[in-house]
Amino acid sequence: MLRSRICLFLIALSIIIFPLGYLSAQNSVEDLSRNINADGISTSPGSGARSSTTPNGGGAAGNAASEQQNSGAMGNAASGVSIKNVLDTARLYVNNRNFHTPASWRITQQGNVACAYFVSYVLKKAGVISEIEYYAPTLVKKLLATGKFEKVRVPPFKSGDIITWWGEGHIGFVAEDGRSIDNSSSAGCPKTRSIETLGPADRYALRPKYQ
Amino acid sequence: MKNILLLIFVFIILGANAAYAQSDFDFNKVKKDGDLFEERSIDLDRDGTPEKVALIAYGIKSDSEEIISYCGQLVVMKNNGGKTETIWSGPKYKEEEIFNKNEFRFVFAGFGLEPIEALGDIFGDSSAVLLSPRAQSDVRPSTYRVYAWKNGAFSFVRSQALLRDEKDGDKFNWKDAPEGEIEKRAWIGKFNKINAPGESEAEIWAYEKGKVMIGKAVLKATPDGFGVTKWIEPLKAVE
Repeated sequence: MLRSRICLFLIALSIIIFPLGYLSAQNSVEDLSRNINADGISTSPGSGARSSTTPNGGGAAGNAASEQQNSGAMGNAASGVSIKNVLDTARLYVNNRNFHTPASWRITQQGNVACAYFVSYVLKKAGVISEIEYYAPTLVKKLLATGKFEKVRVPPFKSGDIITWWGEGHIGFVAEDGRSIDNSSSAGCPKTRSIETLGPADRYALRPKYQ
Repeated sequence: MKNILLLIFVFIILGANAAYAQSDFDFNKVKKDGDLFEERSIDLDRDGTPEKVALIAYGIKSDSEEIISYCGQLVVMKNNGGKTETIWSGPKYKEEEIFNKNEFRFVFAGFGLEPIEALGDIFGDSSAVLLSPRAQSDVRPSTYRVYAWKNGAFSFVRSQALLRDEKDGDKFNWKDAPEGEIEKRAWIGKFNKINAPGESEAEIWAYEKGKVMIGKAVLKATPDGFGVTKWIEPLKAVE
């Protein structure tokens, strides 16, 4: 009798745990799916951000809010691209995963291998390029082919430079303060940090011809 | 009889839970130097008692908000009469060396993650093998580091990608990862599980016309790498 009750208890427990385990595994992607609008951009603040604060203290919610505030900058993309516009766009997604679509979330393994995706997403949104790219060397090739960048020897780095590390194994932007804005594999989202955090940058960078 | 059936049912349900509970690497599990992570159980010395293969965190780096990177030292532990003993441990590297591609580096940083992806008789030669991907931060063919357990220690065997070129049919052979051009190539992107000695299930990735394709296949080890014995899901563009 006691054994039967224990068995029934374990069955009930398993039935509860099973969907919980499954749902937790699916949760992040479902959250993303729910929050993607027609533009492919999440409109819900804070989903998936690991860190609660951005360097300017805005937090993930602040990022989503500033995305709306930045709509003017987005509008500028149609009339002309600027370094400020590109970096403002990149900063929207620091500590934030809201730029992912369900497909990019899957392809980048939950944001772990998203450096080229992040850079191309920002440049596409800012009106510099028209296609998303997941592989850094191909992205570099395509950016040079646009004629909007020149290959320069670095350092010194300049604001707006697109730099690579490890022989085009990793890619990111140089911000106004000389730090990088790039996707972090360990955080699963973009971060700002000192360029050296990731090891020595490659000797060549892509310097935008737009100002 | 009824109780036995109920117990079988319970084990089936719990087994299913365990399969679903497997998740991708959790960076946030490590809080301090010395934390054990990436733990796996396997009977390496075939004495009927599984050993624990794991990584021990060291070299943690933090910024003002959170942990940003750390390394793992590969260790093998054995339960000896209720006491856990470390029977083998791999090297630890100095801070300035973590950017070098050292053979036993297991780094978890902004430029990539190097977890334990598979452990078992992957090649079907009755020896335990550990596979760990080399750190990468964009979508490209995974470079796998292979470590074999021999004579009471893990030894480094190779570091290469498992690639299928157009001429290779359904064979994924050990090759150096291509530099600069990955179109028209497919690669083994992730080992999901080891079904039996020499047989695994894995994700197959490819890059065609700017689209990332992902499929799933059952693989059998070959002298040069792996061959597909069955496609569970054919390669298709992720959109």
